[in-house]
Amino acid sequence: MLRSVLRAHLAMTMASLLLACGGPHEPVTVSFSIAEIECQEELGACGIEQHTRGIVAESFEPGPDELSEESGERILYADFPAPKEGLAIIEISQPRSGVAKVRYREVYRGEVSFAGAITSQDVELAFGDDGAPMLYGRFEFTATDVERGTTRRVHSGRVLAVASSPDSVGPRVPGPSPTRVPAPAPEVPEEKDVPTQPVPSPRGPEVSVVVVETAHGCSDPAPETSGCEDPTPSSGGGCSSDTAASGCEADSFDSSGCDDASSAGCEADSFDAGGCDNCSANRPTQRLNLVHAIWRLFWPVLLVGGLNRWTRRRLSLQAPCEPVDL
Amino acid sequence: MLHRIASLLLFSGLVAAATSSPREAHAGGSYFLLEADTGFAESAYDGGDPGIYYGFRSGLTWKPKGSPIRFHLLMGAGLRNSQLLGAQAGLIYAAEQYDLDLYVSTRVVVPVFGVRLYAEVGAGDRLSFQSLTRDPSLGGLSVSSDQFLLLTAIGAQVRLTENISAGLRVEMNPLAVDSTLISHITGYAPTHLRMSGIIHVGLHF
Repeated sequence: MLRSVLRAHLAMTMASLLLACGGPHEPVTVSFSIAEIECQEELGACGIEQHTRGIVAESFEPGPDELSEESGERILYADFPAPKEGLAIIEISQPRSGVAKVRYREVYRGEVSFAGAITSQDVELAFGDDGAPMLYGRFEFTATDVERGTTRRVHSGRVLAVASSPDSVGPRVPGPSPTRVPAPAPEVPEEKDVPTQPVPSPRGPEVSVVVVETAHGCSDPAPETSGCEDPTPSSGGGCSSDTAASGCEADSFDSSGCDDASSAGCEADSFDAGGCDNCSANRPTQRLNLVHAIWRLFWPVLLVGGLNRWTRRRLSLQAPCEPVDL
Repeated sequence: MLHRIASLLLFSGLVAAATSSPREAHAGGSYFLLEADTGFAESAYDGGDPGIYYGFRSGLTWKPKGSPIRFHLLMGAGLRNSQLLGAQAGLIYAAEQYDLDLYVSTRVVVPVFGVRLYAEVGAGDRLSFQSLTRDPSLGGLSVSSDQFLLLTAIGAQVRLTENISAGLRVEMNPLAVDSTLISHITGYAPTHLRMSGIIHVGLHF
């Protein structure tokens, strides 16, 4: 009898472990390159050419500047030293509407010194089934001095990001030409031509991405390298607002009004401020995740509890002798 | 909610300890074990403040005849949190991470002067939920992931009554994590050998 119970428990624990775990899923990192192909240099702040590493996250709440329309939207994040000083942060989201949105910020001494209003973008952000991103295209933004509100810089560049292993250096995008003559834009394939097949698993082998540099100075991440069309900048892109949207956070990181530690996104000490009213928009998704996690956590326990109860009853009937302990 | 459950369990254990007699402390063996525990956990990031741990495990026990060693086959879950405060180019951020461990483990228990000393080894999965609250002008980011988990623990357990025990436990989780959302943005390196100091209350039946 005891042996049967042991076997049952072992089978159940192993099954629950396998079912609960699934496959490993680590955060997706990307090799991220951004290169400037045109810049109106008024303050000597041109020269954005960075090869860095990015990471794919999700919007924790509806983001400012309409970068994300709701929580849970995937955002590709990358930062690098700003052209002049501080830190430049570029984030590209893939809202449900399907149009990728790009946001550019420069942070210096605790303040957003430049806010890049995207004036034109032609960016494709595709994700594989496992969440591995591939981003390519070109963008144009006007970086504005937040403090004075005067337009200072106009950048035009191209961006490329592919899923990569942590050790990868990242693909290189050709930098700006010495004469700063606007280079022809890379041909961006239509969405149906998005090369999803080469997008590797984040846990897979090293990604080998070939950035083809044509004689015209274009980089084309897509297999097709024929010619470089003159881009027709699409307007808008939904990132025109520079004003910070009022999310869940207030200006100061205090935790007033959020005393329910079990409320996702509104925990005390977690620096969600300004009351919990605005957090309610985040709760359905997080609550679903929480319920799912709790269910995955507790269903084996419920099974074990039932088995234990049944076995205990059987043992009390069939095995009057208590086991001898230590 | 978890705070209340943990407090209730610990309170029950203390009451049992206060009311138990010496004879009950030498309780007999049992077939099943259900443990609930709480304690402090090292931060998920080097240099971070310690977090809180909650967990439980349940399973079967058996002892070969003639051997002083008792074996346990357990499955369990543990929840840890980590918080980080810092600044990115001067912009304040608050990072929070919850790690939910699901695992299967085996425990070997040896009696030494009425105290049951044990060592435990297990494997499972760690579900990690990370969130980063940044300046309102940047918005918040979050990510969830999971990774293979190894668990090692040593501890001591004392039977307070026929059905209740209490114990101390030190747990260590070696992990091979190179990059997370929080580490990527904040620059804090993940803790690869994460320790936890835990007290637990067990029900034996």
